[in-house]
Amino acid sequence: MAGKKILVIDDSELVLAMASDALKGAGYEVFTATNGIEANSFIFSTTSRPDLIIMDIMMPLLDGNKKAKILKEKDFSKDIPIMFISSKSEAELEKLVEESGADGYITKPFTSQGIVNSVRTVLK
Amino acid sequence: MSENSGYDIRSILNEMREEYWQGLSEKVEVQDDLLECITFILGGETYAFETGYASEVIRVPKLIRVPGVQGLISGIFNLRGEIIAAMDIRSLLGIPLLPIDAAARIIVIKSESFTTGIIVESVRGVHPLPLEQFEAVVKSVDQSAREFLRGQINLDGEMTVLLDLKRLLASPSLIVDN
Amino acid sequence: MSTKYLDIFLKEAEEHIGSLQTRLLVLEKEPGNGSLIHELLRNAHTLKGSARMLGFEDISVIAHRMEDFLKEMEDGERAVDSDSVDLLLQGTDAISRMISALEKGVDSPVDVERFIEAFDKGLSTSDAILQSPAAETEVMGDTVRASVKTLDSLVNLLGELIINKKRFEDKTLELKTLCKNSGGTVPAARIMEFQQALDEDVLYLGYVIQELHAEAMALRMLPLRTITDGFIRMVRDLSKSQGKEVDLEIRGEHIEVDRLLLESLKPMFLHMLTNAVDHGIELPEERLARGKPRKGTIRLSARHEGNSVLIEIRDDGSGMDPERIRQTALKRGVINKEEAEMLRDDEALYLTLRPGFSTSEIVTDISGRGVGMDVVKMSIEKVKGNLTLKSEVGVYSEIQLRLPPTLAVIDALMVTCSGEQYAIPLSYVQETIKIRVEDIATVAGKEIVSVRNSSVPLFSLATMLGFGEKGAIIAGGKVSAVILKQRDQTIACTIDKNNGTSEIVVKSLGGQLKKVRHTFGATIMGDGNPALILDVSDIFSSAEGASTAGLRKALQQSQVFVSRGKVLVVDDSITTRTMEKSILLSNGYEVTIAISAEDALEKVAENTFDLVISDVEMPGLNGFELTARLRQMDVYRNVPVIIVSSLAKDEHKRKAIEAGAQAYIVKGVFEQGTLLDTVESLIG
Repeated sequence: MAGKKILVIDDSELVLAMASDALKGAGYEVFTATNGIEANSFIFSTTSRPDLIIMDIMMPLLDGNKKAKILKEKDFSKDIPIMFISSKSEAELEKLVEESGADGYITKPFTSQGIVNSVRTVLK
Repeated sequence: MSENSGYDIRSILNEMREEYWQGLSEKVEVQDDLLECITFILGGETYAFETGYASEVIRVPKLIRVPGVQGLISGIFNLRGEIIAAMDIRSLLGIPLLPIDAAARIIVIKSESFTTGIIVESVRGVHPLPLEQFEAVVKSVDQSAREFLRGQINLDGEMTVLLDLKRLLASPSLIVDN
Repeated sequence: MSTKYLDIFLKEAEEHIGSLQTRLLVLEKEPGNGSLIHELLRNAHTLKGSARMLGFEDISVIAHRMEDFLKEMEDGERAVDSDSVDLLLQGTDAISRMISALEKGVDSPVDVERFIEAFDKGLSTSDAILQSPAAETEVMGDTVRASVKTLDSLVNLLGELIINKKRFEDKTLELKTLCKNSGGTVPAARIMEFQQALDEDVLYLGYVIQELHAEAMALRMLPLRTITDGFIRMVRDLSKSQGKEVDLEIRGEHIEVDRLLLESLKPMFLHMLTNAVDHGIELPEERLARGKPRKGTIRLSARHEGNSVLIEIRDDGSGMDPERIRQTALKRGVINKEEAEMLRDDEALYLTLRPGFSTSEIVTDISGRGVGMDVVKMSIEKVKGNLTLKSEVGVYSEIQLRLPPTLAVIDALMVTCSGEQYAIPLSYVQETIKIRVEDIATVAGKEIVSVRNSSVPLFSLATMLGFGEKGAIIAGGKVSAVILKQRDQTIACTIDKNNGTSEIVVKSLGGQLKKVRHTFGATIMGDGNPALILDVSDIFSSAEGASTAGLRKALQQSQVFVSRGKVLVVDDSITTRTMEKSILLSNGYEVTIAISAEDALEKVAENTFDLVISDVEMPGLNGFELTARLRQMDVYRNVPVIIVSSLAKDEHKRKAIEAGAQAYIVKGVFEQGTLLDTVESLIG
């Protein structure tokens, strides 16, 4: 588990700070981006290609669910697990996960233990 | 991970471009499809950032050295009564340090918490850059420099690298507090 | 909750509030702009999420309500009109008020339930928001209150400046016509007249600037009262909790001090007052037993003295015992035995200001003073003030702070060091001196100079500032140094040049250079370039343990150098002149090269040489002719000339002597010894 790379995309610096503190605390390597464009420089880089992407849904430029759909269609990114992180209701999130082919979700607000647990279920 | 080790960058870039087209076309009324940028030369190559950050461009005045502050901050100067630090960000970005001559300028930037000046080898001008043509930075820069690069654009065969000024300005290495 | 997250949240929230406000106003003008609604929705959504992350339910409830409202707009279920924009603006304001309450750590002024109720009904929400009694409590914010009178006066003075500028414009015009019409011959009387008129304008301009400066400075000043309110209550409560009886007297509350200074003074005052109550004033019974009144008195008084403001905090408590302080400092390792013995009683008191002295509670019991006094010392030095301690055991303790009246203008000594100009606050400068090699002694590998019969360690300012080992400029075997003083310590720092004293305006280095070691700001010089102002207390702390200037050796060498003299070598052969030059240089002479007699004549006009060495056969004038020319010049009538030539006949030697040369060396027998011997025999 140690050294696994996680990319967190959220337009809220607060969420990025809290999520990355929690995940770094659990031994993961964490990259953050505030939108989908920024995120690409990590996703397409050989050195930082993430083992998991956690992303917000309501983001500037490109909504999270669209971004997830696109990533899931591409050959080189389709194997990267994607989790949504959102303050939308669980029902809404279930639906979005199904639509986009994402692998799970984390609801906001989250606790540091909560986010680490959710991540572990996906990364195993 | 291993299955990706052999992919070629061109196909990725094509896919990325597609992705942006797709993403952007799905959005109703994209307002920001052109990003107005100031472009300039660092290490002989073209860099850019949004004009919104730049408040003015001046010739390089006499820079007064600041004790104990080496590398990034070349010195301070007086801009209409305000003392401003002039930065040579090339070392931060791992860009070759070509000589600073008469063509050099300082781009004055007002961030939320301070005003600063970025020394550039020369200023090329203001250009609207098409947002959808952003590509991930292929330059083999290290992670610390990559942090400050948002992407690159190939315009008429010439590469322009877009700096992430927001991140750069937020970088603690810019602040001297000893 | 971690303040890191709170800080991020506050910053982020402010950004979202800002964009909500501007976007809402745009939306009112462009109600059909769907993507704008979507952006607003995102602002509200993110605000909601972030507030929830940190448990700020009230904020998240309102943001959530706004998000729903915007969603209805986006879905076309609600009209986008000025009423709904108005409602959303009210929501934004409410959140903004809650955020700023959070920032200040005060209670939220918003009754959320009532707010939502009014919001849902589309009514004014103003009743749900507590109207705070203005921002009057914030005396020391970034804003200044100025009376209309002051502003009027400033505007008038500015008007005067503009008139003055017009006068100068007229003058340049006048000068232009004068130049044009006179064809280069302006009568002296006319010029004098012009100059007198110009003088008057300059005089008047100086007067207006002085007035303007005083008025502008006055805006920065606030009475001491601004911070002392509440001190009496604080002292009362604190002493009561310890079973002590203390009166706090405050005098000179009306004295005005620079607002920035006041800001840094407040925590220091609180600190010193707490110390006085905790460790100075005795319990009532103890006081009675010592024949003192039951009730102790602490007096905080302020007055003007000369150009500074003097503030004293004096208590009639147990005082500070120098002997005990010495013992404690010894025990704590702040000083060694020899130092302890050498310290006078009044000097020993200052040990309490040293870091490391007051780390333990036991210490404060013994010294009767001292919790974090090093912190106070540091703060007072930060504002360029001076701290003095006085005490009599069992009778009183007194801390005296001498403050500059304003931070914005100080008197400074301007010096050049490593090619840059620096300002040193004059309050730290004892004097400037010139040091000769015999003034420098070495003690335990450190250099010291004797100044007024006391030994002062010597440092190179350039080295301390990290600008390398480049020595100070040595002119005539001497080096300039400035003697800096701080409380009971003095050090000497070598500088390149002393540029005299000047009144300078202090400017901050801006938000990027928050604190640069060895400096505390900058000023702008007459040429428009900045000069850094040195932080003398930083220099003192760097001096501890820094290596000394290494000047003794440099000066000794320079003395040899200076005594040997300047030589002009004239030869058209590069080989010969290079050889001659290197021989002379390596033996301590200063050498200038001329490639022809004509070149030599130019060089002698610019410089005074002690000796000339010349070839004979050169293009243009030859060496004999050059010698003859030199002999006709007043300055060179007696300067020795050596002719170096390949012509070996007696005829040539005679010609040389006739022309006025002192010596003749034949190149064939030319060797190092001959030339050097001849030079030394002529000029030593």
